[in-house]
Amino acid sequence: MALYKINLEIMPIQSVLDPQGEAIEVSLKNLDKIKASNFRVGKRIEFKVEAPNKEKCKEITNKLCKDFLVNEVIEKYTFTIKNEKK
Amino acid sequence: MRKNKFAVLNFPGSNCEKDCHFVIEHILKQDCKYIWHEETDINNVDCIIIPGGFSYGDYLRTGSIAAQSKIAKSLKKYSRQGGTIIGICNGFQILTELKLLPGTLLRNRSLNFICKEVNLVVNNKSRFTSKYNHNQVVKVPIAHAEGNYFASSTIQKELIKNNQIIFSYCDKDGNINNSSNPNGSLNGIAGITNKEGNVLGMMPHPERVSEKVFGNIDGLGVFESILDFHKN
Repeated sequence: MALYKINLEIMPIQSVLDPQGEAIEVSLKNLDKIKASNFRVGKRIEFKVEAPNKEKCKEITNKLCKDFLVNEVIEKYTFTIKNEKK
Repeated sequence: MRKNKFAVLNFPGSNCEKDCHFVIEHILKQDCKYIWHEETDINNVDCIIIPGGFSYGDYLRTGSIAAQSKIAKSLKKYSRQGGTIIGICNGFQILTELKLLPGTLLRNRSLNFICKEVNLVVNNKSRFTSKYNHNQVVKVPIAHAEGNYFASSTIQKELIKNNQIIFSYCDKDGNINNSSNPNGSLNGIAGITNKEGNVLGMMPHPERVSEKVFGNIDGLGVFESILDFHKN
């Protein structure tokens, strides 16, 4: 068994209202000379997974995302896997 | 006459469980017990109520952690067997996370927590609303930050086709429009059932307007309809 470090990034899908991103954009009016737009706010979750190999780790992480960590009605996700010393 | 057996689920952070329990036991004079989320036995119950509140502090997503609790498996089985489940407010959010109801609840359009009475138009073709007239307008309070119902266009079509939209936000005359929509919900949706019709999720709180002392008993019909269904 090997230990893997997962960095999971979850973002609201484009068709869903992102009130946090919108609030940031509205408040930018108070900052002079900064032109920035299209803010979307998501979340990052870090955790470790024990698995026999990277492929299996990917499978476990996908299952965890679909069953619990991500609501695919409104969110999409990506993740990276790194080997951890056990 | 045999008393109906209700059960109110209780999660860490639930805060409307006593209101529901009170209505069932003291207003409707039926049996009612609490079921803690770590229990697994929900046999011998006519109706499960998932109350409002902030289960698990609304961490990750509202209702998502409650949907992983021990009771979840039994709840899904109970639903598959046709058992009556009603989720109010956070209960609705939990039911969508359990995938017992389609869609999800987003942050309110205004970003504010909204606590006020709203008008709802009732579709009485369900086991939860048979005691109302069809298209009756009732006044029921809402109290939520995440009540903005959202679903894909495919699900929207299904909801309409299968007559699953049970409560819609409306004006005092029953018109569903943008200004009568408090939170940005899709098509003004305030409550839906699953396709089979045995699971209802609704953001408004019928248990808060079920007693004459509050000057409004518009919510009582939901619980009376459930009783009526089980009587038959």
